Amino acid sequence: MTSTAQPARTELSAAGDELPLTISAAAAALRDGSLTAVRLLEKVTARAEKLDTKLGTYIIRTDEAAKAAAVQADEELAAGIDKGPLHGIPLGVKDIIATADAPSTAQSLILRPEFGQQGDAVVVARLRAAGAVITGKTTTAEYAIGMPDPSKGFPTPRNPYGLDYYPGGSSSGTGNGVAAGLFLGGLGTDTGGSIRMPSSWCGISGMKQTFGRVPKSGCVPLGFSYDNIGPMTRSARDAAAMLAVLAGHDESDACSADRPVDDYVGALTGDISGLRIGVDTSFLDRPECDPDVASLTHAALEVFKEAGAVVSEVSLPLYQELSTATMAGLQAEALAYHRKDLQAQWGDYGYGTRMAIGTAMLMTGADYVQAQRVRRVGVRQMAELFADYDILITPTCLVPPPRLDDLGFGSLISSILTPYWNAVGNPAMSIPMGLTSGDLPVGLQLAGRPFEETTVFRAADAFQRLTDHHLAESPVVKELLA
Amino acid sequence: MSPTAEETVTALLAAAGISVPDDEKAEFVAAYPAFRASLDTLYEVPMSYEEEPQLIFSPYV
Repeated sequence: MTSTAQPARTELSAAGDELPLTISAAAAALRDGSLTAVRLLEKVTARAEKLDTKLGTYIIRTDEAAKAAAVQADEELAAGIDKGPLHGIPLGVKDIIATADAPSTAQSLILRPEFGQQGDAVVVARLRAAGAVITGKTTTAEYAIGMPDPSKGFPTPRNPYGLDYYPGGSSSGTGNGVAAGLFLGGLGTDTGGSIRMPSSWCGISGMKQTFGRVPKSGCVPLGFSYDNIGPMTRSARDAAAMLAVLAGHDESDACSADRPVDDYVGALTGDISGLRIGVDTSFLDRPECDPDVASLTHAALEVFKEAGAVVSEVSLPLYQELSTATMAGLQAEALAYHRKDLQAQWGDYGYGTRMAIGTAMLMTGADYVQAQRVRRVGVRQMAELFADYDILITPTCLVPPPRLDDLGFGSLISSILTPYWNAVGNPAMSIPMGLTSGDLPVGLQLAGRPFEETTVFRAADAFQRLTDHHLAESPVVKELLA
Repeated sequence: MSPTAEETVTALLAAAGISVPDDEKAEFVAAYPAFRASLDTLYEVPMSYEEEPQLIFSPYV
């Protein structure tokens, strides 16, 4: 992957179907008359027909509703009604988020069917109001935690860069679906990294915005005080366009922040001269850090320097303690939600899910409260650190995607650097930073001050104007489409 | 004498009212000492006695 001086380049797939790779490219084509929403839907549906059984992207597709939405989008655009950059764009929705036109399973045998009958979650209603075409419900780790468990009868999501590899989770289907072009963007959720991990390992961009920025009502909870619904797309620009639609207060979520929404897309100037970036390179020296991850991180930092950012070394405060505060805290909150069902149906939960949530049985109430006190200390120390920096950077994960037959919850958690940011609530985004020597994608994590997603997007977009990692297409996918 | 990890885990599972197969209970027993140690580090973080948890009660709906 090369560094390129000019942002202008083709954003059409080289796989033969000329699918626009990004929402931005598709939106432009829908307006210059070279594409219709119906034709765009046909292209992604054709990919789903060829790829879904291999990738395990969908729990259920909503072809008829999607077709109706695409027809409506074409009629509206032809009549001069332009609802913005998501108008006519096919998007996938993680199957722990309620939609009016499909059931919700949380990829579990446990979830009450009534959950899926509540109609659209707030975020889904906002996407539809913006003219988006919802194509279906995507695979997830059961209840957004744990590991794939084929014994429960759900699809096993696979990495588009190697079908024997894990795409990351828990927003697995949205991640591999965006990377393989089964839709151009989608919704994931992130409680400890479930947007950023699959974004890293599928080679796409994913934003966990500030806690409370996007209402999470209508989503099956995992950790009430850690959960976020956020965008997963190829480019930071596309994620900014999606967040502009998703963000904003809604009283149905007790955690929803009542404050103005910034102009995320308007902030993408490409100019990061003088931006103060702190990087904690100590992670790259850890024995578990893959050498390719380390070298790609250093190469990415050079891109930021070339763009005029001021990059210097920092040490992330309370790293291990805040990571523990996230994992133990979310597990305790999950156990409160699941305890009755675990008592009655322990064996109906997938192995990884029941063991992960069940671990919270080993905690005390005081432990949970202490985790929340540590979070407050962390928030304070983070505010002090961000007085001197605008962006903090680490790799998203220390290793490339693991093989599906070599997955373990403990080893997985120890290799990701995402839970830390759920403890303090700051926005954190993963963007692609290239392929390892084994041709597997890895990501770079950028974090910013609370409610300053604009700065994170601006830095990520500037990086993507100078690189083309986010436009890479999997050789495996191209071969399957041939 | 301190209880063993197995005795503690057995008691905690019973308190939660959750029965698990013996092999999965053995995994919890094996994981417990490290998990307990990681939780104990939370009490070593410097903070005032009066530090509030980040979750604050509100009397409003």
